[in-house]
Formats: sequence, structure tokens, C-alpha cells
Amino acid sequence: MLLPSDGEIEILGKRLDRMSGGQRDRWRAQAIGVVFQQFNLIPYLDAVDNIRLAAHFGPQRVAGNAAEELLRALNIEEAMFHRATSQLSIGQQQRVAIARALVNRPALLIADEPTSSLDARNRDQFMELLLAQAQASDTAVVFVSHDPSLAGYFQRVEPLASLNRATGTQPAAGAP
Amino acid sequence: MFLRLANQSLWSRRGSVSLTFLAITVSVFVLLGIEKIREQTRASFSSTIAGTDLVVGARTGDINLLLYSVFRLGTPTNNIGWKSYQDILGAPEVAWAIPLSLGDSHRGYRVVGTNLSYFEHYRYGQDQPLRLATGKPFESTFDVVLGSTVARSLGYGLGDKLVLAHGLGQTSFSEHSQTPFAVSGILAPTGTPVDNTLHISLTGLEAMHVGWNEGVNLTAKASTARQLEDAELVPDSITAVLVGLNSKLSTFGFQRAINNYRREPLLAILPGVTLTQLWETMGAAEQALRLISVLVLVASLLGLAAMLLASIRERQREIAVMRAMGASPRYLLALIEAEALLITLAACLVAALSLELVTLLAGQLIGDQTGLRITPSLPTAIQLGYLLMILLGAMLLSLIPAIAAYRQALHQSLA
Repeated sequence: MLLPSDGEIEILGKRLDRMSGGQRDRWRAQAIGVVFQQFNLIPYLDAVDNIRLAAHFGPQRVAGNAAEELLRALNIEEAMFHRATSQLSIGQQQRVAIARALVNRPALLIADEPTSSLDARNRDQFMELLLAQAQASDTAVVFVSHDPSLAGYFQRVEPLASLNRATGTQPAAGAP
Repeated sequence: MFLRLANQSLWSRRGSVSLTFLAITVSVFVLLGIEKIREQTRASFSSTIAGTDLVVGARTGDINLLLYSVFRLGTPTNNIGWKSYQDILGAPEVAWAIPLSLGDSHRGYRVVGTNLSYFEHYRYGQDQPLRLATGKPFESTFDVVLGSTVARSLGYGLGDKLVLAHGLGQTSFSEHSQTPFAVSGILAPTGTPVDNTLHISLTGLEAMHVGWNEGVNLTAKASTARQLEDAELVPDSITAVLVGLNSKLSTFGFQRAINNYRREPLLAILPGVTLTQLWETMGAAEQALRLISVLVLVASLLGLAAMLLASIRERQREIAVMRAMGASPRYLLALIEAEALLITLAACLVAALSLELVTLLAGQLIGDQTGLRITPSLPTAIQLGYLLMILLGAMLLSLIPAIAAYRQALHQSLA
């Protein structure tokens, strides 16, 4: 997590620049879930353990079977629960990544172009699952994408170019 | 979850992990093995002879006298007169005195001429007496009692005839072939040089040498065994005497008396003291062995550190993901340390267990080949200390990859 060299940064009412490194790590684990472009599951852990690991870093109040419940809610078959994530299909990996990002019921979920490698059908399915689960756990979603057709899923859409005023120059290839 | 993560992470790299694990196992095995051999050799060494207060022989070095009289190693420099033995036996302080006469052998095993007091008074270990596994002590002139190893490795049983050789070589050109001996008894194993010895009576030893002079058979027509059997033969000289005293208090006084014996120059040593001296002379070799095994261990632990360091590179993404999930850099440092500790701990356990297993399975073989008696045992305090130091060393050296992971976690973010 990059900190500003100057000025202040506040997320969900917390002054990140005033926290110590350890506090930031703990806070991030419980307040922010992330879904990456490549999903970035730990390849040698099974689906359940990937989710449990996220719970392990977060606040300890997560129920013991939260991982399994999330996976079930995301339509993953039980047979896949204990298979190494490197053996799962892309679609399954997506869903495990969503479960991992939401297991701590974070206030904020950041999704970084998770749909860029999906075809239209899978993309829509992914979006529905993601938003449904986010709604269930009361999580705000910040979604970064190149794909303008996803705008309909969100209440607020901001082109990056209009946000990126810090550098002074406009990025050549910004997202819409 | 932490341990599970470390376990799974190791399992996912089981190829390089198991090679590293093997390297550490082997070096821990060597280190523990050397320590075990040292401890058990020392124990069996100091239990070679017990109950004997003084060893008396011709004047020579203390250690030399001990070596040839008790360990049956090396060659006696000189003999002592039979009269001296009788004087010692007759002294009021003396409870018993075992005469020993050395100089002959049978297929590499030493022959000791003695009398029945040997079977009665010789003690080893925790004051254990000699016990016959089968048969009885020598009765007639040409009886021989075998040590357990002699009987087992040469395959002798009761009543078997064997010919003793003059001198101490493995193969001898001058054999006492006209006076064969018959096995009258076989001793139970003791784990001492007694196992490698053939015992005959002093009379038998004399009879065997009748007509011999300076090691050569001079009589063209050798005396028959029958004639010799009836002859009353008294030795002129013997090699050494094991002495038991009535009171330990008189040990030093009687030692001085023997060292000042008028008739001929004699030397009396306290076996315990000389055993300790002898052991200390072997200390340097022991230290060298230990040093080598420690170096081997350090090398294998460095291998562990190198393996983990190399793995950090392939785990860049994984580290970044864990950071994003909220793992602190310290958590990643601890994870690498835990992986090092798991490998080392497993290696230590496997090494210690397989060492005991090997001694259990091959102890007999090792004993026959080398005379070392190694038995399975619970780890001693020293061995546990070694294991602890190995674990600490592993943690220390693994700080190198662990700190690399820590720094990576601090500076790197997902691309």
C-alpha cells in the first residue's frame, strides 16, 4: 500500500497516514477485500484454505465454516473444496477469489480488472455473483475495468482520466 | 493455519525440499552417530575391567601395560618371574591374583595362559563376573575356553580341536601342531576383549612350549601330548598379574611396595587411572571427528538457507498476494523461518530414529567387525543439546531468506 509523501489519505474514516505499518496491515485485512485481475490465489492451497487464510489475516471473529458457506453460495461443488486451486477452472478460481475477498465481510471491495480475460457470458455471470455476494455482506465495490459495457452494473462511474489529476499530465491510455 | 500454510508451501516444493531434508538428515545422522559411538565406546571402554585394584607387569609404560594385559593389544615388552607372582599372591594385603601369560595366538585371536582364578575373580562392567555360556573351565592341560566372539566367528563348539600358533600374527609359520587343544567351554558375551581371547591353563601353555626355545621348535621328535599331559609343569615366567586387594585402603601402599620390589623391576598401575589417561590420549581424534561432522552440518544448513532463498524469487507473487490479504512483513519472515524449522525438525527426528534403527539392526554386525558395541539408547543430554543447537543454527541461517522475504514484502506490490 503506497502512502502519500505529503498530505493525508483517509479511507472509511480512517487516517491511513497516521497508522503504524502493523495497524495498517490489520486494518486492510479486515476492511478491504481485493479481487485481482489474475485472481492470484495461493496455488498450493486448496479453495477452502485460500479463503481461510484471508480470514486468518483478518479479525478472528469469522466463523469456522464461513469459507465453506461462501463457496456453497457461489455454486462451487463440494468435491472442489479441497482441490489445489491450480487445478480449478478459471471460472471456479474467480469464485474462490470472490469468496476470499469477502470472507472478512469488508466494508470495501476493490476489484482490479477481474473480467478482462473473460468472455461476455462468463463476465456477466461473474458480475452477478460478485455483486450479489457483496450485497449480502454489505460491501461497497470499487471496480476498475476497461470495459464500458459493465457501467450498467454500478451506481457511479468515473473515468480514470478525470480522477488522475495528481500527475498533471493525462495518461495516454486510460480507462474510460 | 500458519503451520498449515508452511506445510502446504513446503509440500508444493517437495522436490527441492526433500533433497535439502535429506542433506540435513544425513549430516545430523553423522553428528549424532559420532556422539553415540563416542559415548558408548567410552562406556564400554571404562567397563572393560572392574574389581581389579592393580595390574602388575614388567617395568614399561603405564598405558602399554594396560593395553597388553587388559586390551590384549600390542606386544608385552618383558615378562615377570613366577617367583614374583607367588610373592604377590602370598602378600597379606592380596585377596586374589590372576596370572596372565601372553604371546601365542590362534588365527589372529590372542591366547592367554592363566589359571582358574581368572574365571572366579575377573570382573567387568558393573562388577559382573565371567559366565560360561556352555561347557566348563579348563580342567586338563589341553583344554581351552573360548571367548564368545572367537567361538562364533571361527565356528567352534564344545570338544572341537584347535592348534595354537606361536607369536601374534594372523598367520603363523610356527604352529604348536603336536599339542592340539580341545574346547572345554565357551564364555558368554561380555563386550570386552575377553570375547576375543582364548584361555588356556598355564600348564597347557608350558606344555605347548616344551622343547621350544626362542620361538623355534628344536626337538626333532616332539614330545607327545600324552607324555606332557601328566607332567607337572610350572612356568618360569608370566606376563602380567591382575591383583585384587582385601582393602582398597592399601592400594597405594601396595602399589609402592611392588614398584620397589627388590628381586626384579616391576610396575603396578591402577587400571581406572590408566584407562582415563588412555582415553584422554584419544581426545584429539575425537575432537577432529566432531569438528568435521559440525562442518558437514553447517554446510547442509547453508544448503537449506540457499534453497529457501531461491524459493523467495519464485514466490514473489505469492508474497505480494499475502501482503494484499493483510499479512504483515513479519508474518512472512516467520513463515520462512517456520518452513526452515519444519524441515530441520523433521530431519532431526528422522536422523535420530534411523540412528537407533541402524544400531538395532546392525549393532551386532558392527560389533563383530570393529569390536565396538553400539546399542540403541534414549538420547542423552548431550545429544539433545546438539539437536537444540542444530535447530537454533537452522533458524539463524534461515534469517537470510526470511529477511529477503521480509524486504520483498515491504517493497513489492502486485503488478
